[in-house]
Amino acid sequence: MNCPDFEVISAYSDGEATPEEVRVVAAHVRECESCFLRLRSVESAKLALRRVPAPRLPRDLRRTLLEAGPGLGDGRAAWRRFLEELRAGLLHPASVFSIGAAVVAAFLFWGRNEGLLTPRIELPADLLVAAHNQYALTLPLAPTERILTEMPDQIAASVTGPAEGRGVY
Amino acid sequence: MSINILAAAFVLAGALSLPGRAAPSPSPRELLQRSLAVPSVAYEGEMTVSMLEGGRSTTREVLVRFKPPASYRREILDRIGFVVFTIVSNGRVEWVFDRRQGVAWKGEPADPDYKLLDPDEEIALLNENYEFKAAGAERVADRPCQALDMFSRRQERRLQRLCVDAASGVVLSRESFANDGRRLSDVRFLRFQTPARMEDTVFDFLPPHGTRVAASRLKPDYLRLEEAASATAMRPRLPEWVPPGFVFESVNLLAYKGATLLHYRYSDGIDVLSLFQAPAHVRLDFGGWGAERRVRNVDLGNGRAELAFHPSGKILEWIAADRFILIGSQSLESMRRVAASVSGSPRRRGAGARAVPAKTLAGRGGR
Repeated sequence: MNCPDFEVISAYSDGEATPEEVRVVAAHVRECESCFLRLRSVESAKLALRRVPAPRLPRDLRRTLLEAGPGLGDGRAAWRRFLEELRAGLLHPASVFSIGAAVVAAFLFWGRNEGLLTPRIELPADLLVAAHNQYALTLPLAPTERILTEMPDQIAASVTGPAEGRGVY
Repeated sequence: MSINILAAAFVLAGALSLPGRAAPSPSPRELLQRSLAVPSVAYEGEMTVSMLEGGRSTTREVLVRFKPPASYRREILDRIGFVVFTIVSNGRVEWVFDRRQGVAWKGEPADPDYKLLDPDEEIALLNENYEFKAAGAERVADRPCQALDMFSRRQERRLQRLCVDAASGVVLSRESFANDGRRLSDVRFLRFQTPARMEDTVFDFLPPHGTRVAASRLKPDYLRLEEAASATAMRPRLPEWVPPGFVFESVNLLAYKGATLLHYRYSDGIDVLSLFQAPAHVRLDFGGWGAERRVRNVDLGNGRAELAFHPSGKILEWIAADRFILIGSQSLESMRRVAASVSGSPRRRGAGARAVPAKTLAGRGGR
């Protein structure tokens, strides 16, 4: 199954995909759980950002700007004033909230891709070794006795409490 | 007088003709064929399985019974001779019984008949990569056997010595050697016999009262890549490089707690290389290995992997969108190179490269 690139999914979500891409993505996400989740993740991130209120200009900054009019004095003073106002603006609750929301959205998307948000499954290494060895048993001249002697240990080690209904079985 | 002369001449002629009448030593090819064939007779015996690792040796005693075509029973003993594990198969069902835990797992025995690589191709692969040399007569379990040394054609070193029972073709002993010639394992019969009659009931298993019975997850599949791809949401990503002599054989699907893993299997006729692809949220748990796990980091060039040692081989684990685990007994450099060549690694993600088995059966002119 060929999964569309992230850019295509993102364009689809933005309504900027070509008709052909729309057809491909719409059909694909019905079949591919991974891309469906990816699309949902993109849309949730966008929704979260949309809900963040646009930061409003602090009143004192607005007043200063209006009073200053077209001539804001010399460049250095204007630059200093700009930095001060920017600092004040960044500390505004709305700005803090929007930056936080962007960070959370980025983490949600990255975490989904890296599998950090899905419940972790601990896979016993012994189970994989047992599967590896079981295949080795099918080879000509397989060291059957050595493998069969080790295999019960691997199967047993890969079980974490079958009595509680957990583990391999 | 003439009778004495005639008698002496007869004895002399007989003596001279003896070397010509003695059975010639079997050629390596004959010995190999004998050891590859399923024994045509039932046998039973007691054997030791010794692993020599890091100056330490662990030995287990095993009671062995076999009846053609594919019934077997293995009973693994503890130090004082009690059976701790029993593995029984009648060719259709395999039971693994852990007496200490009181658990029996019911599954399917490994069956080469379902493999995608047919037996002739597999033997051809084996001969392509390995060379066999006769190494004289020996005695194992008080029986005459013919020794056969197995050499790697690429590394030009001895890997194993087998001793094949002259009468039955059963491998009575097998030693494996490290690069420097050290012995890594020694498996040999202490007692071996071929009884005229062996009951089929020996290979049936009835779990003792109170035993918890569970279905084994080890139900091997032998799928083509396309078949496996359609069974999982993951895009199969195979290495673009595997060690010389290895071919891609088949894919196995392994289910665990709701996750499906792809198990890609490569073989050179003797050795196996397994690559597992799992969703990223699956983590490898090394469980009870404790301090013996001996993990260290390995640089893949485009990321990092963790290496762990296991008696069955090295285990290399890394994440590249999905989680990958490579198991094999090849050199660390070879395993590192295999891992680095898995398509879709972080650096190349989105490049659109499609996974293709490094060397497939089709590539060998096979099916």
